[in-house]
Amino acid sequence: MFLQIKNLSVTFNSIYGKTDVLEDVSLHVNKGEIIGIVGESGSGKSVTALSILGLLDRNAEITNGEIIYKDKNLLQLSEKEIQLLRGKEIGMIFQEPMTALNPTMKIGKQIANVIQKHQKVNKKEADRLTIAALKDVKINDPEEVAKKYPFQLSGGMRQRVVIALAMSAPPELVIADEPTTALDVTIQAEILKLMQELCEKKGTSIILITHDLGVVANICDRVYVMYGGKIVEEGNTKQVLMKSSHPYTRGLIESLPEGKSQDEALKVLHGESFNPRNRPQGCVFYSRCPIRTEKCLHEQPTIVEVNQDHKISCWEAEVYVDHQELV
Amino acid sequence: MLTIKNLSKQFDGVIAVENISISIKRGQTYGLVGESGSGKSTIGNITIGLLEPTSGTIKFKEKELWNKKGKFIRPPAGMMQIVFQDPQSSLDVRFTIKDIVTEPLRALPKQMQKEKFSNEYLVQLMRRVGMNEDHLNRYPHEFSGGQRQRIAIARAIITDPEFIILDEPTSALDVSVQAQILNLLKQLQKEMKLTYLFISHDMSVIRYMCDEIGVLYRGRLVEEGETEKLFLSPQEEYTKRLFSSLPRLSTVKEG
Amino acid sequence: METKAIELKQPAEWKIKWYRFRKNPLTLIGGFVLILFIIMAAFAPLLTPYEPDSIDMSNRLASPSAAHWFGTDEVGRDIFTRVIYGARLSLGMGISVVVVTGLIGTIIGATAGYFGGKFGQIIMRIMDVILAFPTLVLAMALTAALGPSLFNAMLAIAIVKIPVFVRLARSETLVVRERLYVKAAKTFGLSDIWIIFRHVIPNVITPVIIQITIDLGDVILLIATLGFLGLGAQPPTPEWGAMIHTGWEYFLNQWWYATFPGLFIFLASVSFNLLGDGLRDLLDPKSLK
Repeated sequence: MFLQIKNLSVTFNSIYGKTDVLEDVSLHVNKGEIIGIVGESGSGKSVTALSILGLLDRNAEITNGEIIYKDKNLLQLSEKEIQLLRGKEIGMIFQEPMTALNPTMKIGKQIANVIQKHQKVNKKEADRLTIAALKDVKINDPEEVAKKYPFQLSGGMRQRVVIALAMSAPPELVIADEPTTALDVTIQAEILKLMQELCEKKGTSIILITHDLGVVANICDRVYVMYGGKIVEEGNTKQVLMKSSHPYTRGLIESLPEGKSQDEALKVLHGESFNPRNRPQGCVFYSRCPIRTEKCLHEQPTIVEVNQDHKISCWEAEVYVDHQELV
Repeated sequence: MLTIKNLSKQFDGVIAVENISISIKRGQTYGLVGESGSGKSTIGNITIGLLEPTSGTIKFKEKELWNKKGKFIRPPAGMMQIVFQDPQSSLDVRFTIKDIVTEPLRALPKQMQKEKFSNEYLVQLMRRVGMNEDHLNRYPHEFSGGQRQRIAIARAIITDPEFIILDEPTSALDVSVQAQILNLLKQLQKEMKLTYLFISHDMSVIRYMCDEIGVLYRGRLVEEGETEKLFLSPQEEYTKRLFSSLPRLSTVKEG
Repeated sequence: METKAIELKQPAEWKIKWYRFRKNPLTLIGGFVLILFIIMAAFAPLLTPYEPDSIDMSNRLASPSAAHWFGTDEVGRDIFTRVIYGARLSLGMGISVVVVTGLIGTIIGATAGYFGGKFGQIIMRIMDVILAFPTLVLAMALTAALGPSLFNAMLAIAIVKIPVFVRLARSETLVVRERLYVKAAKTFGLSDIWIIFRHVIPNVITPVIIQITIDLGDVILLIATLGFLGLGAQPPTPEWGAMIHTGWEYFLNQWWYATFPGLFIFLASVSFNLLGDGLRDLLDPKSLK
């Protein structure tokens, strides 16, 4: 296994007191695969990503768990060692491309710098690789773009540049946190395709964090569904989306307007998005769950395998197992 | 209900909307779909009087909304309302929910104000959007995004409007909350015989909500028609590309 | 359809603010000194057996002693008494000038920012002209032109200080007027006056209050300076600046005469600055840690 997170728990300390934002999260990524972490606000999906990169805020405390990357526990590395991994072996793409770009430096130079740093080539070779990297992300006139500053580019172009930058080392793992959320759908489609190609061509593993089940359906091999800082369902994408067995995943998919006729009301998950400051004693989904029982209120559910490569965390696991396919 | 003819808008010479003509029938939901920079929100803002058109006419119930001098002639008594995308910013954090919801009434004639300021009316209104009377004396920060959007909707329907512009009403919300709001909007439309102009970039939401849609691209209306027809057989190149870009659950990757 | 309001488990707002306030000892010191000043000003007659203008020629220029803590001046008036009565004057005048100027400035700035266009431009150009002069020089020129008196000094201070508030309120208004709740209010057909007074001003007032606190120190210093230059309060008014003005002549032999009023000016203006900085951290969401 390439990357493995074991029983990760994270707490935020603030004047509100301690707030658990991740609880016992375990996941893994294989070489060359795209996994999705999907969830809504407060689910902890971004915190998971930031923990891998060692980029959590200072008020965050990792209370338990390990993050094993190639036999090393990332949580025990020094800041310097992590710094070395970031950018070189682990690349990152964020929702807002400007956070990753230096506004006062030309695009070409930014990429060339990274290449020179990680690949030990001379300047000329680095420049050549820069143009190749820009071509890789389907930029038509790479020479022109290399001479521009970030503000001169559109949002879609910038995100491509960020991908080129993240890929230039080239990394073995890319963590993409809502990389297309701020972009238009037509550009999103191109960027997703691009990421998929890069993954196939270079064997890069990708962790894609998103709230969009459609995006997950299109490019992820496996998916983890998070709710309230926990993984509630995991497995291969097709299984999880079509035969969702956790009431949350199921509710989420059923509440999408996609494929519904206009005169049928959408099925609704009652209640509001999860609030981590209000963590229940039992199951995190209890307050919104349509199939809850007395047990769910008091005891946290254990993980059950409902099918091969398909697990959920629910006391009522058998309810949906033989249900019809969703999509 | 609403007829837009040859509407154009330029910002400092840059074209935002060009020669748009649309007509919306009573009781219908008309969807404007497009990506950023397509001019969809500009059209909404001109219709509600926030932006002045460069040329063209808009008629609401046969009456011109913008006169020749570029002045907005507001339809009487809150007949037209708007719900914005971001309920974080559309509610003044210093107002109580009651003050927020009743704010549109302050522009109405005195007599109508009285009737609607009554407590029973407010309680009924809050229940109608899925909230309750205890919420009236609270402040916006005490509510989640979905609840805030319910409050914004309550504010829009308090004047018994006939026409509501919905400018990306669910784009800032979580998926599971989006469904609640869409259901609410549909239900209100039925009960109050509302006409909607639904502005969104989300095609599956548009498809679910709208009777007719117009596809905008860089300020132009590239295609228009009945929703199902358009989705099943788009004619224009851009429309096809737009529809095929939408990541769908049904095209799940084989693992 | 059912929704239950989520009860956010969070401490009361004042608790959070107090927590942040407490974390900054300098603010606390500033606040503490100011409270002392206010008590002093409010209860001045109870704190001293003397009157601020009772002359005692037999006891001229006495050095500090148990009877006269800060000594006496050239006509035998108790300096401690005059200094605490001076606190009354400086704080009272300072606060009223800044608060009135701040409010008027906010209304002007909010209006200029909200409407923008030519109207806004003209107002801002006028403010730029005022700001082009050094504060003190302009205040001196205005007071000299109007005639030296405490009232005219205050008027002059109001004029030189108003651009600060107009600018601040305007720049905040430029942000607020783009908020959707302002746009929403416009779509209801509500008047601009309603929008300015109910939406804009309440949402720009926080930075103005901070600025008022910070500027209070400045204004107290200005009042004193004008007094010192003979342009503000006139003797025998127990005003700090005017006291130093006279006390200066005696500085070499009777150091206490000018020193104590000077010390109080220093304490008051530094404390307001500290408190203002603390308030900024407290109330300004941008500095939220």
